[in-house]
Amino acid sequence: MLIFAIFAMSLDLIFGYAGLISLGHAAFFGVSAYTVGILMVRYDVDLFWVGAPAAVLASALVAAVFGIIALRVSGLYFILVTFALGQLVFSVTHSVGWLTTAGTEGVTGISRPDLGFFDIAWNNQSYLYFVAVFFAVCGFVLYRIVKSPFGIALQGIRENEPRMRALGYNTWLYRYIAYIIAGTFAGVAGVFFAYHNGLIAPSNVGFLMSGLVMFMVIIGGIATLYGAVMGAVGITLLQFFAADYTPERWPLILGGVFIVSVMFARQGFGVYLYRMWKRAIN
Amino acid sequence: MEALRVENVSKDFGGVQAVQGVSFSVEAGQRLAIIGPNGAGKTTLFNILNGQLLPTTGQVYLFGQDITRKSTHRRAHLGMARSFQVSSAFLGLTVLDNALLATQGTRPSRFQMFRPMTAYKDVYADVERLLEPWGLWEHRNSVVEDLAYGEQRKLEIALSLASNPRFLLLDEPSAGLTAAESAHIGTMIQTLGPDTTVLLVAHDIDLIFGVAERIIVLHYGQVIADGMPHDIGSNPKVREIYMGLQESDRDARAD
Repeated sequence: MLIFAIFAMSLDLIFGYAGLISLGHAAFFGVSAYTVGILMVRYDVDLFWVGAPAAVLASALVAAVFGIIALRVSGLYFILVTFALGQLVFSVTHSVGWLTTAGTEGVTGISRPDLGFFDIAWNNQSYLYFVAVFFAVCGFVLYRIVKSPFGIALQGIRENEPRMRALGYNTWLYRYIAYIIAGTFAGVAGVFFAYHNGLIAPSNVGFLMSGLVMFMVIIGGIATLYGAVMGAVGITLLQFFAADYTPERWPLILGGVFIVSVMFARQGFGVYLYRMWKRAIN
Repeated sequence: MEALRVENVSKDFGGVQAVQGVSFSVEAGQRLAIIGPNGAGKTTLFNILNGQLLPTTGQVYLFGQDITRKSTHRRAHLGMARSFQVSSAFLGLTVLDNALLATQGTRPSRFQMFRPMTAYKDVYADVERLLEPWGLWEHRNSVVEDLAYGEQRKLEIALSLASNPRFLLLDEPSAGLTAAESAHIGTMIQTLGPDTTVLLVAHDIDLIFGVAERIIVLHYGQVIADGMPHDIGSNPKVREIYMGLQESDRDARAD
């Protein structure tokens, strides 16, 4: 839940604040999740302080390369290029044998990390607290970024790029930096996902994942970090209960929620609930 | 000193010559207006000066430096600023955020990521100094969309002044304004110091004759007259173009 909240916030930085529709955001999530998995399963790197930074760095590097390619174009073409790059990562995870362990597709047998000096007995609760700490840090950092001159400039570029250029902003560079930051935070989410899930499969990397996280941001509320968090929490909870009752109808439920959301709460359910709550306490 | 030199600039849009061999120079501190009927190439020339378009041939120099191939944001750092004909302030942001963005654009703090934008006291003080004379400081917390049109126009021009430009390009600064509002903008342009060279493209005759020390007339992409306002006013070629147009305008309306 909090893992997806980090993931959704990272997408919101480029999608909501910078106005770039990326359909390949799961690629960065997947690169870091695979890095963690491969390091642990093939090279016995269990230490969190090695595996996690390496994985996040890998995501940032991939974002730096993809950014150069995707940001050469804008608008619809940008969407298509990000989609293609996302599928590229997906197909690499599919077809490169080295990225598959233990017969079935994907990397299996990922365990909770070794934290070095802090000896934590891992169970679901302690892991939740562990992720919560990182969630809080990521949320805080992203919050500071969107309120900073850099963050406001991103929104200015989204609203009116020619004006920002005339004011002396190198708009390309801003987008590029935002893209890398978003990829890096998606990488953070990927790390925790891999440790949590125990396995990482191509389906966690592909278009469906990119689409799901975009749903989370839209349903929660674009260009509000808390909206992304609420969208992620809401969708994850819904998915959890749907899996209990009618797993085969999950896509139908998700689609229904999405339609209701865009019809009746255009700015997002998260924003809607937040306003209701504000009115209630006044 | 020469603020701007345009050398033999042409722009070709797939066979249509929007601008043909235009050359002129502007002394530092001068107020120059470029006028001409619709389709005369004013906007094309404006966009070439600003860096949004690359000329097919010719060179543009800003304070002696060749800027023909420099990007718009590089020109901004060299002291060039522009306003937009269609008000293009950031509609979803507040007046204050707009002004902070505009002021920050040429400062090193623009890449800062970890302090709130309002924490930059020097920028904040400059923003107050910028907005105050336009009567916009009291509206600083309003979202731009909610401002009256006249206020939005004023903000548009105020934003272009935020970087203390040495060379200011104004695109139809008084478009759609009442005579009183237009006069206010004219006064504000006149109060700019001699450190700011102004080039404006406009239709508003009152504004042009109130502000400009020199007028260039464009027609079919070529300079057909260049001189003091009263010379231009009595230039037979210019009169012909404008009178002719007005007559055909009247005919069109009568139909």
